[in-house]
Amino acid sequence: MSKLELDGLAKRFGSTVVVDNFTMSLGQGEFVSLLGPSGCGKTTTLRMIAGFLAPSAGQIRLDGKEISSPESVMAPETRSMSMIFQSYAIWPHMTVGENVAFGLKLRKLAAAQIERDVKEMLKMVRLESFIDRYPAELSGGQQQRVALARAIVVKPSVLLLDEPLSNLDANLREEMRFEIRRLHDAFRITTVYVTHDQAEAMVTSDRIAVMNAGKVEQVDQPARLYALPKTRFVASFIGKTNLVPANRDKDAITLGSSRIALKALHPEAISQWPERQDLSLSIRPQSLQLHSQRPGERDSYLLWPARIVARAYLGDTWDYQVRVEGLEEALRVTARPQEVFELDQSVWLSLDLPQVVALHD
Amino acid sequence: MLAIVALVILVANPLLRLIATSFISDTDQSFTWMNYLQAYGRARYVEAAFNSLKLGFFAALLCLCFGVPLAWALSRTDVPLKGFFWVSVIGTFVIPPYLGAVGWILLAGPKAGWLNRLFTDWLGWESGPLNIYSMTGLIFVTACYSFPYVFIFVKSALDLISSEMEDAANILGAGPLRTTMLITIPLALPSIIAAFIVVFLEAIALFGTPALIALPARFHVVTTQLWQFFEFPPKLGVAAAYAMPLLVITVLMFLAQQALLKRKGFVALTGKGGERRPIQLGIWKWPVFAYCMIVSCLTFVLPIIFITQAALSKAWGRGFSWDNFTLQNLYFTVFENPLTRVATLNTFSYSALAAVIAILISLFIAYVIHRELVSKPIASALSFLAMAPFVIPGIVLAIGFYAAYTSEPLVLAGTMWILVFAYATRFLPIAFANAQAAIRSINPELEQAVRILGGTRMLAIRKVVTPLLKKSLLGAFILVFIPATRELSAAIFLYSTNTQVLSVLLFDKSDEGNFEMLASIGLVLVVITVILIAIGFRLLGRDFMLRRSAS
Repeated sequence: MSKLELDGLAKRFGSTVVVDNFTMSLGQGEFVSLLGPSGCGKTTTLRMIAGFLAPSAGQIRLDGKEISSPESVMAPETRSMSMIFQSYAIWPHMTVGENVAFGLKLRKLAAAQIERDVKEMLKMVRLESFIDRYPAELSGGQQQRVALARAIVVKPSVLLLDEPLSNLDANLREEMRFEIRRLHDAFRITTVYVTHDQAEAMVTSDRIAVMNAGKVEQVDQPARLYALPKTRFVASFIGKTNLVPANRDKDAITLGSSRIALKALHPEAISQWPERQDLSLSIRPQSLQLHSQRPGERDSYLLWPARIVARAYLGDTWDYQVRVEGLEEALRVTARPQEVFELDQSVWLSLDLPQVVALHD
Repeated sequence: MLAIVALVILVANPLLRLIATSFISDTDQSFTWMNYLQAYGRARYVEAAFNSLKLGFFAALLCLCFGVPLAWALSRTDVPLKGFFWVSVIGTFVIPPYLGAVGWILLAGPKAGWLNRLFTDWLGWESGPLNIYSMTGLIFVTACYSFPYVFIFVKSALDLISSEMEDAANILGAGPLRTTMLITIPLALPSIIAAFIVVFLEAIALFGTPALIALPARFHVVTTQLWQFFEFPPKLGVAAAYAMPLLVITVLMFLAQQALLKRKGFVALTGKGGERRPIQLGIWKWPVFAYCMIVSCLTFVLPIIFITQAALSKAWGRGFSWDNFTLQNLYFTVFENPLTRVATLNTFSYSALAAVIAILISLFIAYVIHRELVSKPIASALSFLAMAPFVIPGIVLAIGFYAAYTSEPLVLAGTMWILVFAYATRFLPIAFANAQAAIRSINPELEQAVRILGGTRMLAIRKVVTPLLKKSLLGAFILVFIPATRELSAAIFLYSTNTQVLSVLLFDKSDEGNFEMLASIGLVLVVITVILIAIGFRLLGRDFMLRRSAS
């Protein structure tokens, strides 16, 4: 049985639809991210799970029991969840120890037990020597870890995180991603994590739900989201891509002057193909390769003569823009630093067909 | 629910009753226009109204002359002794206006005033040239104790203007004087005009100063005229009708001021802006310094010296000497005289009660509004009612309270509660503005963190909101308590013999010409206020007084 189920969940404020028909279920101990640009409804969804907002339609079930519906919402304090807020919401008038002990005290545990749990938890987040400090004396990263400790120490049924790293600087953010995943591996708490940062979601999650304009576009494992996006939005939001218009008929796709046999593509991409004539191909910049000499023909390759129209050196990669006869827009190609081509140089461009995905327009 | 009832009792009912009363005949309770006819049917009543306008306009103008240069000097220049000037401005805030008036009576009373004696005794003039008992004197004294509003408004505007604005003018060839006149002052203009309006309203609503100065000079302003309508037998309907234009003018000017401050055309006032450097005045330092010194002396130093002298002497006219020194007046005021002892006790207990009531109501309203526990229309109705007293002159409010609570169903007149409630209402906007700021400063996530961990909303309020609010609530308490202790214009209409307060007592004593006693009472008030402000500064930092101007 799944731990947490969202069933046709929707939220409207007046006439604006913020979340629309969100269905998803999380297994026990699963870590799922809600990923999307700001205003896509991910925080609203999280707050509905927490019980701070009532849904306009649909239900939320915890262990098979309904906890939220338009008719009735169980109060947040009765859900045995915990949450990490964007502002951390560390109570400034309590010490680190008091903050972490708060939830345990509400659960009426014995004082000795509380003390032991708090110490153990603070050790987990490497703050054991800060137990008597006040939050104002801590750095941002330390406050973040207090928030984590306070939320996890109560062993919640579900842990909710609302953009917890958005207030940290870049280096610390990277470190904390791994910290969060480490704590999840240690405690295996069912977790819903809201973020707009792709890398954060990729590092931490078992599955990611990509949201756009209130709708769920795709729920999948990080690697599959990248390799086999189901919508144009997912293809362009997760990593960079070239979206190229194309036509299909019974057993091939026409791209510019080239024809691609359907069986040359990734087998799973085929089932996703819409039964329509107009479609877009998502071509990752990494699936394209530049050659100064014409390379040998291979089945899984498509080969075009091309010309470099713009380039940028980014240190760890080259970012080229390449014009191909018959295609309206230049393609972006990512190349290794030693693959140097001059502007206007004529080159050969090869495309690794198994990495191409066809999408709805 | 409770909050709505409280707001109806404190704000809505008195106001509505005031308006209703102006149309009801005092004799037979029927509808009538006669009150308005009576109120404005006599030339001297109309003249009093014009006197008020004159007083407001010229006092506000004089306030600008005092306040703007001082604000500019302290905010933008390297004038020496800034700390001292700061203290003197806060000092003028602390001295109740009617006490300032007493100070100036000591200084510029027609014969015995200290300044006049300077002319007669030292320069050998026939008689002193100064007479405080005149329209000019009234305008001057009013301005002396209203100009801090101008100072604070203008200074906070100037503080936001980046030096780069001035540098831009400099680089194009404008000297410091031109830059100030063409760039700095115009940038602060919206605040200057807004301050002008505030001071104008303050001046026409003032009761104490005109009562001390205009009455002996045998002319009336609106507030003193209203007071006369209340002399036995009170003509309530006429008074209400006569107060109506004061209310209307206040509301209109307040709206004008709000519209003015809302205009976003002045980028300088949006708060951002680069570094701010003081202008190097060079040789001009001393004239500017002298001007600031003159303003400080006129408004603060001279009056406070002579009030203290009077409070500490056997007879104030005998001047500064050891054989004239006594603590008897102060001792008598605080400990011996049963009248002043009771009044002191009343003043502080009423003010404290009023402050607590105002804060509790404001806090509750602010909380339900900001946590969206009530619907939008109810929320805006609540905050409108809580802010409404801001535009009601104290004297008008008092008439409303009198009209509302001298008859069934709720008779409060003659009890201490009418004073407590009137104070609470008058200063409700201050409490509300503070409560809103305080609640806004608490991130709702702090409470949500309690709830998601299993605590109820009440627990969150008890364990998180209350401890975090402690400091700002103390600040709000002080900010309501201080003006309540010196409140005169409402108290004068609502007190009874058992519920005397210090301000009323001080006013009553002015008839007897016992200035030593007057000064002692005033000094007691001032000392207590200073102690409270010092506590506020200690706990909350220097800004806490300024918040009231933001409301």
